[in-house]
Amino acid sequence: MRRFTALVALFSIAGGLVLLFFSYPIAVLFLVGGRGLIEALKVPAFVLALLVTLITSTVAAAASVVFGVPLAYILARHSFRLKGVIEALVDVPIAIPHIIVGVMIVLAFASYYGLGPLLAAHGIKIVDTLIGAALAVTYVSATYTIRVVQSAVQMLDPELEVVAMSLGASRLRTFFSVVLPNIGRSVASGALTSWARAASEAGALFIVAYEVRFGHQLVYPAPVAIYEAYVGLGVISAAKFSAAMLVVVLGIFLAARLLLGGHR
Amino acid sequence: MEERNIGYVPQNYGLFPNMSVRANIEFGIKVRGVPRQERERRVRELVRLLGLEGLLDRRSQELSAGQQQRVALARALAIRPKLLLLDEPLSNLDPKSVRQSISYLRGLVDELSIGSLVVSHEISSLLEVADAVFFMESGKLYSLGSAEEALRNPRYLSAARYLGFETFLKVLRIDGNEAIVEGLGSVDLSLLGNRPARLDSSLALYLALRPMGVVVEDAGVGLDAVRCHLSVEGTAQGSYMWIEGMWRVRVRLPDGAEVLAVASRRVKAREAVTLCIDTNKVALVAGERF
Repeated sequence: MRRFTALVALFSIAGGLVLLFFSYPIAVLFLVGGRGLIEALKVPAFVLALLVTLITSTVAAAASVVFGVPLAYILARHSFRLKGVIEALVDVPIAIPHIIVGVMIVLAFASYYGLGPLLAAHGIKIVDTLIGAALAVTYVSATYTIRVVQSAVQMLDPELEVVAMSLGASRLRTFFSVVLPNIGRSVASGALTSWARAASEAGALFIVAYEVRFGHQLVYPAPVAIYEAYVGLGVISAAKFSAAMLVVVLGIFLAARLLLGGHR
Repeated sequence: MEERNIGYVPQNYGLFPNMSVRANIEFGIKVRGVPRQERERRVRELVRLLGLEGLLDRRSQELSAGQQQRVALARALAIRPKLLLLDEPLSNLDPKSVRQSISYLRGLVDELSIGSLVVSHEISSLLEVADAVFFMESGKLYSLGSAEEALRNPRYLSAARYLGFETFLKVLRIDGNEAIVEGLGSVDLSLLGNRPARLDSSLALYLALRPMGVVVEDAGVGLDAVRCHLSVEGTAQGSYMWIEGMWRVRVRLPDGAEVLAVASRRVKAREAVTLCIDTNKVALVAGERF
């Protein structure tokens, strides 16, 4: 049994202040925007905006898993020359200002430079499309999945894989029967973090996909829509859209966490 | 290991936490495409052999260490391996489970006659099931023969440490059958159990003694069992009760060398003692003391 010492008291006060700092603005947001929340969810353009954001962040989370898990596994299980460089590269997207990520995506995929002409020749448009928006939010969010999965693999006893292979399982079979089931929870939790990060992205979208062609309409991604409301209509109006988006995104996030089983 | 058909049981057993006991045991034969009926037959057989009744639907986390080890054994044996490899099989077990584990191991060896390779730092309990003993150091493997041969004549100083020898006295010179040994003076080598000719001549030679082979006279431990081939005077440095229920005495010989001996009573520090050395329990070994 831990004793309640002065140190614990001091740390509790410090920790409590952080938690207060986290929750107080949320409380005020709902106080101000809460009443307009339902109203905001009845605005068709905003519902479409939320839909676009949910689609792009789900694509980002899925891409993080499909491409990130293999990388995470290799980083966790193998050492090789220049591994440090790759480790750093995985963290780079977090360090680059996201507005710059937007500029880079446009330059790399939608300009006269890089892959732009090739993609254009095949009729693939990046700027103001779902593809472009998904590329941008994947760039800024995949790192979280990679890191979470990497540490989960590192925690997993490598002997399990040795045993599975000694029993005749191929490497692929070993990965899917022994590794993946035991890190499944971490994959899901990493994907969820990437998803939440992707849903909250605005900076890169300002450049790549301020508006998204969605069916026959042009739709703002939700964070851009809120920015538009803030600039055009003021902070009170932005508050109700913000509260609405927060309810949807946090609702999905918390429900998924609950499904994953509480504190992990 | 995968292509060589070796059943492997790692030190921490390596049970797949995402699977039931049954799925663990069946994993290898499922991967190899053994049909369901045959799989069930083998599982039944292994359950009987290893006493796993009633555990098949449990998860590995719910099992005791001994049970986990038996499940890991069953899983390794299910593929009918040519060789069974056990890494430190006794290191995570309490003394009761060690006894149980040994008796299962013996049962398996007798019933399935699968060659088993057991790697361990603590081999005393394993010697009773061992047909052959090997010693590995710095990537080199030395064959020490049967358990009896290994215990009588470990040949290498570092192997002798694992086999109950605790005192190593430097051999200063060998003259035919006579050796001049630190602390003891002249020792007749023809009295020893082993043949010095088989030793690695590039290394220094030592006389290896077991505490049980060095008895404090007049505090003897069934002295009739220990033949007194060689006796030497010394000064006790202190004694402590040891696990065999006897006293262990550290004795300093006149030239400063220290010997571990046994006695049936506490021997006080600075007490002058006569030691009786049973040369049948002494081996000549090659190596380096430090």
